[in-house]
Amino acid sequence: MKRYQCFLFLGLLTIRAQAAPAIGSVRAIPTTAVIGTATEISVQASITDPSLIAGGANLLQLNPNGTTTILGTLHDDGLNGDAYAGDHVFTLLVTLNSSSAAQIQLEVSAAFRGMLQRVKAPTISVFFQAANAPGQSLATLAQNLAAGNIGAAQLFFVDSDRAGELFSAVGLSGIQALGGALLAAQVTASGPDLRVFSVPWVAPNGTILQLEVTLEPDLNGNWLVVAW
Amino acid sequence: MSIRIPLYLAFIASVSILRAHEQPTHQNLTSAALNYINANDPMRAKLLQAYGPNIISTVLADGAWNEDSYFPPSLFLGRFFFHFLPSLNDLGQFGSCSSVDWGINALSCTAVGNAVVGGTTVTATDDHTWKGALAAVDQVTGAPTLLGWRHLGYVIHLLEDLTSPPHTRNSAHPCAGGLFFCDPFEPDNEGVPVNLPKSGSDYVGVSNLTGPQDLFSRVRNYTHDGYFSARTVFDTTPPMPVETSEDPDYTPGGAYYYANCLQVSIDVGTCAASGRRIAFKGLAYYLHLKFTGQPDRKWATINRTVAHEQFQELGPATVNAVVALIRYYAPMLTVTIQGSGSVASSPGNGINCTTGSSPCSALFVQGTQITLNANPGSKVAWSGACSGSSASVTVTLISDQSCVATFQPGGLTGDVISGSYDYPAFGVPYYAFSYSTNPVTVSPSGATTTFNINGGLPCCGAGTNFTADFTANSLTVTVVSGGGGFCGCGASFNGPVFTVTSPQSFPAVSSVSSNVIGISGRVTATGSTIGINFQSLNVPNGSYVVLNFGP
Repeated sequence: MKRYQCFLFLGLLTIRAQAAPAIGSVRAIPTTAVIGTATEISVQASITDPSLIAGGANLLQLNPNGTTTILGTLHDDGLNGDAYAGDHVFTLLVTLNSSSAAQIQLEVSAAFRGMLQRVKAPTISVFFQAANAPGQSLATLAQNLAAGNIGAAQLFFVDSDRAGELFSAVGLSGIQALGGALLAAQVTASGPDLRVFSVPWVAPNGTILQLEVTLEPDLNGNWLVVAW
Repeated sequence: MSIRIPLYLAFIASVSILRAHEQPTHQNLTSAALNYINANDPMRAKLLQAYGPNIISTVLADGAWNEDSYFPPSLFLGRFFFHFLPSLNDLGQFGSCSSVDWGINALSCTAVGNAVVGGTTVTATDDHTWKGALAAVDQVTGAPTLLGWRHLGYVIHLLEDLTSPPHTRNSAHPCAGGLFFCDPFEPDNEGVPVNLPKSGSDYVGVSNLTGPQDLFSRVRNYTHDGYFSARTVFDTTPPMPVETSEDPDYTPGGAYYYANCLQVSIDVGTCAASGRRIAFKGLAYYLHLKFTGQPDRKWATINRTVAHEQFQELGPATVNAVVALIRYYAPMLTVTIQGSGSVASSPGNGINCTTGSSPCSALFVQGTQITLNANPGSKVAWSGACSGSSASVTVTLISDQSCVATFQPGGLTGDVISGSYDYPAFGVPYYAFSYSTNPVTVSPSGATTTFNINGGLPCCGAGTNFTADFTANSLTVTVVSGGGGFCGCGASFNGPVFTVTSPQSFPAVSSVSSNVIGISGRVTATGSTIGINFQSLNVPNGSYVVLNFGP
């Protein structure tokens, strides 16, 4: 059930795969938190190479001044947030906080036998945001729609192509009506990296429907419409 | 895994990744399947636990997570390109292999990323395949090794993906923010508890499997024919479900329904009055309706509610399928013994069963040919998955099987002889004694076991041999001439033949020959002590007595 992680490349280069040990996918749950709220983050890294040195997987925080702080050692013992001992998925629970909006960058490094230098995985981020960041994102989307800024509005949808197709079908009046409706959206459910809004919508027969719009953050901490 | 990567790599201009973390769902699903086995298949659960506490769940969890690994050093292509059936070809993402070709047929497979990732290509061969699992056999027991289970965990991951609608409808679902589409089924169900199937239910239809490909095909069709991905709601590609009813377009929380619920819908409570909800009419649908005047199902989608209901239904179906694969991979052979005897399997010692330990079960790798050897072999009748009356039968295990070995009453194979030796003084017209030795287990089946009597009979001398052949349900006492002597009983003779059933006393024999005038004994229980007394006359020096428990 893996969804792809997508990187945008500008140039091309041919390389050959090497058998050097590597760290697999790394994830943080959740990736967003509220400013001033201490939040427990579960960082998980898949490391299947048997040459991993025991206790050799560290979680680092990349500081703004370029230094790094070791937050702890990831473990695969089935304890303290690690789901299964020995499944090659190493876990560390860390509690993070920030008094202002911030992007906290985390990195997993691992030591392997026969490797002089530790191997590092791509950086992941945890974003500390205002509590109403999803609502602000939806409000900005609504303003763009009301102003007819179609291109900017599309960027707030995970499936921007589908949104663009619908905008073309309903025309400017429809787009502006959508913007107006979104301005009245209210949060009805929330979870880690999840907000569900209810949007009032008057049907042609006069019935007022409360329609669901779901937002989730992307890896840049931007909240996007994923279902509507 | 061999990887050849003509990797067109440049620098990363921007990273745009939505969280992609549904591996825990795989671990939950696999764990739920083991929980189902624990609750409904206790013997199999016991055999799995015999590997060690929670060892199997941990080993399977490895594949549940890591089958989604990337191809290092690629940061955007991974094994997940080959988790579709049929193979992926959507949104510019291409996988040359289906999940069957990848995990079962072990083909060399090529993943091609779309233009956004530079058209990157990776060619790889799976290193955790069904074939690998089959090859990982414990040579002692015939059961799968832990390595075999580890391989199977990866194959299970592939099977689980076929209960995800996007994986059966060629729907790439990369969840890359602003670039691609994100199907809600997987992210919205992460961490959601998995419903277990009702005991004994078979939602997918997993009986009489002909192979893993067959199971994969059935699961794929079950999902494809009953569910949509968000991008394929009302896909016109056949086969598609037949919609039989539709709620009014302007009902709050409007949705599309199928009138006919699946059995699992009824079991998990997702069967509403209108039927089974398959798609959601949301803001996009109503926006389009309002400003075009045309209801268009194309704008219906899968929202959280529908995704959750899908998972409520597909979770049990997944467990259903995964349990079937576990059972198919390591079918269980059960041997039940009726009467007195033992059965052992070969090769290996997976089954080593006696009357006292029956029934006995063991797991074997799919397709293993197992020979069951009965002891005593001359008085056994097979039933169940085995038949005939040969001492050995062969079973090729492709599914759970049970064999019953019925031994004729009184079979004494394996009984232990013990007791004490005594005899009257020389000159008494007959000698009465109990023969004895240290406990002896008669083995192998039907063999003649010889043991010495300490001190010997007075007329036979030390080292007189008594031989017992416990091959069947009757006892023949034979005194065979040894080196001669004043007792001089002659060449040999056959004593009385009488039936022994367990437990019972031997019938007394008043006179059986000029030498043996009586015999008595007891069998306290099958497999326990036998004590035998007999009286004889003039057993010659150097003779030995044959106690023949034979037909």
